[in-house]
Amino acid sequence: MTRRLRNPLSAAPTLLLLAACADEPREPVGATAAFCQDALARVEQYMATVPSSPSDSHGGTVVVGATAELDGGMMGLTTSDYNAHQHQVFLNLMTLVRYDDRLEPEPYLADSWEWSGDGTELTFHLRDDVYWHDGTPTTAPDVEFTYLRATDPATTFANPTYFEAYEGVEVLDDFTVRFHVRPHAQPLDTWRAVPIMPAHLLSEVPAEELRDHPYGTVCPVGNGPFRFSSHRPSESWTFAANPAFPQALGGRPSVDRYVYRIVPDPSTLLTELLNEDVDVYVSMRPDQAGTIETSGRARLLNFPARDYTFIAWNSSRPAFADPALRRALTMALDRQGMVDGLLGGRGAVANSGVPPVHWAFDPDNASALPYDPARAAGMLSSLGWEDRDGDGVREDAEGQRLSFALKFNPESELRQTLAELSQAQFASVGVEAIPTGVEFSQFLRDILGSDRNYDAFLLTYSTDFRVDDRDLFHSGSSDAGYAWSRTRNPGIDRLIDTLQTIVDQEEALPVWREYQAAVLEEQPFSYLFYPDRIVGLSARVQDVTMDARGEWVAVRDWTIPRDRRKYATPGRP
Amino acid sequence: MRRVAKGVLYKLSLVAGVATLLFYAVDLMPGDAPCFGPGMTREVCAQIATNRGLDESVHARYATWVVGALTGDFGDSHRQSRPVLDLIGELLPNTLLLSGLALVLAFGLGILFGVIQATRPGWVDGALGTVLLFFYSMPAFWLALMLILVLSQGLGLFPAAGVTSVDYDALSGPGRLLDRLHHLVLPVAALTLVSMGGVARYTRDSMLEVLGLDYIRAARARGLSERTVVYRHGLRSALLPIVTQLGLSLPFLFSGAVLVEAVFGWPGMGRLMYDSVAARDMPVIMGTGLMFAVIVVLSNALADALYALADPRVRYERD
Amino acid sequence: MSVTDRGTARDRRGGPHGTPRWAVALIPGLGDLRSGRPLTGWALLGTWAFLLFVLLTRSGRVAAALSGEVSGRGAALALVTGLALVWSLALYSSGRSGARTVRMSVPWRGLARRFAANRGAVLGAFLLMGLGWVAVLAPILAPADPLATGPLTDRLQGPSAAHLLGTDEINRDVLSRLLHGARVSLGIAFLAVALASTLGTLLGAAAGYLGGWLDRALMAVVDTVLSVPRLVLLIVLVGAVGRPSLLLLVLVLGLTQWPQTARLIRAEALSVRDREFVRAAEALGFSRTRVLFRHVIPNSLGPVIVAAALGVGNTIILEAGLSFLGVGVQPPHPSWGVMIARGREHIHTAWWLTTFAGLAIVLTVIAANMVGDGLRQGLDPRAGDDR
Repeated sequence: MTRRLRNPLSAAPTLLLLAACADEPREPVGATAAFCQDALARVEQYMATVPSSPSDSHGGTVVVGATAELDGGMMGLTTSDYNAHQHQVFLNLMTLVRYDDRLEPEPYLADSWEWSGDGTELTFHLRDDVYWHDGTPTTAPDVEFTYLRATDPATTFANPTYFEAYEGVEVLDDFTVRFHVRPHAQPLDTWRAVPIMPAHLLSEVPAEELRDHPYGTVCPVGNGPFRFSSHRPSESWTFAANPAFPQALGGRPSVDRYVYRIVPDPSTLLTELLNEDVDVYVSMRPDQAGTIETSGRARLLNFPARDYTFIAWNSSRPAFADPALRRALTMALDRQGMVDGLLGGRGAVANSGVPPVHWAFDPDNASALPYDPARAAGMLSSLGWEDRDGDGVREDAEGQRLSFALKFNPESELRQTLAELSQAQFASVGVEAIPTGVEFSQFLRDILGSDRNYDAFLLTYSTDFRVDDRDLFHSGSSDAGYAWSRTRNPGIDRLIDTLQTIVDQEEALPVWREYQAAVLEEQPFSYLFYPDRIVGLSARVQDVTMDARGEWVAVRDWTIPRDRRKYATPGRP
Repeated sequence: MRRVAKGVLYKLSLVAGVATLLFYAVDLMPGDAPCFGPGMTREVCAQIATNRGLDESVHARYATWVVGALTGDFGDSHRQSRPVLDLIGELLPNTLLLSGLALVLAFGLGILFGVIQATRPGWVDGALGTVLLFFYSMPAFWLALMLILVLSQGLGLFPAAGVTSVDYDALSGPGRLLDRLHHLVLPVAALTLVSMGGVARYTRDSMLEVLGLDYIRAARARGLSERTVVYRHGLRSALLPIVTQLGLSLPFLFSGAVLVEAVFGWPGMGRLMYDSVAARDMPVIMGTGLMFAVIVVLSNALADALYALADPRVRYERD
Repeated sequence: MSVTDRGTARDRRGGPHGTPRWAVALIPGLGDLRSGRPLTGWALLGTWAFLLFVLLTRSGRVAAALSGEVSGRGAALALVTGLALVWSLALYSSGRSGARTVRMSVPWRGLARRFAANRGAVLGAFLLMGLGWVAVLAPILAPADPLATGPLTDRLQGPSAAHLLGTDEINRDVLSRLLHGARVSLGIAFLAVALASTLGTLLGAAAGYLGGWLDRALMAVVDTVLSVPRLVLLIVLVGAVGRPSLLLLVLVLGLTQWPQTARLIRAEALSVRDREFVRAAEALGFSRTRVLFRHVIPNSLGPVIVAAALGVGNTIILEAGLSFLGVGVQPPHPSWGVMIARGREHIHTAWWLTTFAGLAIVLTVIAANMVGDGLRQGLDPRAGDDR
């Protein structure tokens, strides 16, 4: 019997051995398996022929840690995930243009471009030294393919507004492509955002199958500075330096290998950073930044970005119909306190959806509607909201209580905290906000559905570099998904319409100022703040710069100094 | 023989029942796959649903799924854009390793401690019982957080997350084994510590009951050594209920793994299931749900079989 | 609880060792203690002392709550009623000569004796009782409003005299949240287990006693529900409704627990069904419903009680797990699981947020498990505490 007792214990090493034998990335099965096996084999074949002469400074493995998987992977035509998009445009794929640190377009895959005199023809001249990782040159037909697929509704391209002003494309020669457009604001922003996809691999794939095609997660063959080497679902993505990346664009990346690890629990991820098992912790929770500061075992980087956090008011509910009431509610919130306390000062109070990094941002606007509970209370009283029955909550003349459900999704700890904090601050001016956590899928249905199932909700939203609030505030889109405030303001309509047609920024600037003042007056949202993006860095990684363009903008330059390298790299002595 | 066939049929219908229930329950869940972000208009979201065949009626989709499942095609994950079977193939070994090892250890150590408690009444029994109860009363995820805080961040003894380290592929065979073991220590410890108390308690009670029986007294009277009496005669009978427990506790380790996997960043089935529910990733929910059901049914059958094996009197009389 | 009438002669003279009758009347439990009923005695005495202590130290709060100036009227009423009850009990028993006699059937008497002999179980029972009172009296006991926030610049204070267990991420008093959390966590657990036990007992006993198609159908449902890992089932169920509320949590926790109870009691009912007294009752022509409720269920209840005690601990852990995943208790209700989940962002700097909530869970679950163990051993004389 004692032997039987020990038997289960001796099974343990066997289990381990089994696992150790079976841990090579598994080959995909099914009809599409051949596609990926073939594509990856050709990458290996081509890479073997590329002369790679790493210098002394090259080498090492940088490990990035994040809490979420790269949803949709490297399929640039359908992705809407921020981190996945960053990996597409900065690691695995290329865009025609990129932004410099002043957010001005500069050449990338396109060496140069020109406009026709009337501003209706945009011609790109592509570099001729960019190759897909399987050795096929990147050419104008790839650009044409990307455009045609992106504008085909069946593809379900994530942001059709990029191509609203586009009317057609023609390939002039292998490296020249021309678009026909109507004049519009920031026209090159589209080509900063949309990565060019490989036509030779994907042109046979029907548009409606692109979103779920294995290219995105099993065999993304790109042309960027990093080539795909493996993906273990929910665990990690590994990319290797691409030795064939053009010298003129900086050549191969400094590190040999780049690993994106998924650690879903933020506190575990922080421990991994402090233990140097992760070198770059992206999208760190503001509350964790304090730990880094006191630990001395890692350092912090934070930069203003394009996100803003707000409370949306459903103005079709009678209680929230009056802009004056919405302004009073905003003034009841200690937004500077939120920035200083909850964000640890890493952020700025917001008063519109135009972020401080945007060229049209109006700094004078930022200090409007300061925290003033006494004045907020006075404004509420003058609007006829008084606490008539002494229960601490104001009522209007008909006895309707100023009470509402404040929805949020509890997956976000910050917004959960904000909901509770807002409840307390609203309560002090006699307004009852009931924090209501709703699971994310259900939350989205509530806020996007046509029945507008909310009084008010908390959300963090990311604007594009080309700010366009049409979906949010234009009365013409007030039945579409994102018209959360159901704003119907002819002045704002006119400004939004005008802004998207002015090509010249100088000319647009005063209109932008006017628009931001109008939003402040209308107060469709109580904008709370622009949170900075926060990144934790281990002592191993150096030469890291980040800005509003994103965490990965300079990933090619990230360096692991020789004496800090701790991982063996396959295929390197 | 007919009994066996009937049993198999019953278990198959159980699995089919779970699958049907799950499909319709998930369909009833409010909220759709998240379709959100600047530019993701209703038209785009509707087109995505059309591309995936989600605009058909629930019965039609269920029929499609059943036909696919019967031919071994469980569809593609919407979130990860790859076949569900692929995903399960990638993640199942991780879960089996973690849960299996924890199960083996929880039962091995639990039985050991239970026997010690039963044979050493007094302070040994009391102290061991208290310690085991302490861990048994802990939420596994809380213990996991504490283990990470003390053993990983504080003392730097073990990695806090992941299945292998980044340079795993460059390691030699024994190096790989050590690396895996190193990553397994904390999650396995968290799962084992919280579950072995239950096993120990069962074993102790069962042992005490058996040791009081006549034949044990008779064995003692015959002058057999205490060791022989306890292990050869006592434990054999005492293990009977524990063996059944072994089969039945598989689901606990699978469901307990959801939280522990989340804390330790362990890419396994529990997390896959949780993420897919959050994202309304129907093919994955169905694939993993079906697999869980099969495992539970199989483990119940195994418990019955083990029970029958250990006690020849039991021959499928239990229903 | 010992129920014999030992020592009544001495009681009549005012108590053993000359304990004056007025003391017995004034101090609840003293009479029981003096006449050899330590369990009842200590329970009464402990409750009385605790309630009196609360009333004396927080009298202002109680008065304000009673008059409706501050919240917590229910808690204040419970405090006053509880105190009045134990006192009237003492008065009643001192006035009556001799001990109260509780009539119990034979198996229950054995259970009570063996339970009382098990120190761990008694300790667990007292702990649970104390925690129950803490939950009920939370609004009176809590030093601060669990939802009131302090200035954000001074948040995450460590334990101090002003905040015994520190403050949280929006500067709320952790001790107050912990006490109110007991209401939520214990409340959900007890209600869910009560629901599961009732449902499981009725269905399981009916299935076991009546048999036939009802039995087969019910057991198929039970097997199906038990086939899905409970936490996964819970996540799907909570997700299915989308908005987790306290009532919903009670429902889903209860509805996923009853199959286990049903299976236990069905096995018990199967064996009871063929016993003489059941056969006799049937022969006498009593209706099957009557036999079920009067004979089968009362004689099969043992395992249910054990399962319920152990289930309380289990449910607390499950609720904490759900809250940890964000699909459990929603703010502003402070459950212990929520406190751990929210505190883990600060686990490296503000250890007090997760530690105390975790310890509260461990303590409660230990207590529930000890009670469960005591009941199990008490019900099954062979289970070995009599060595």
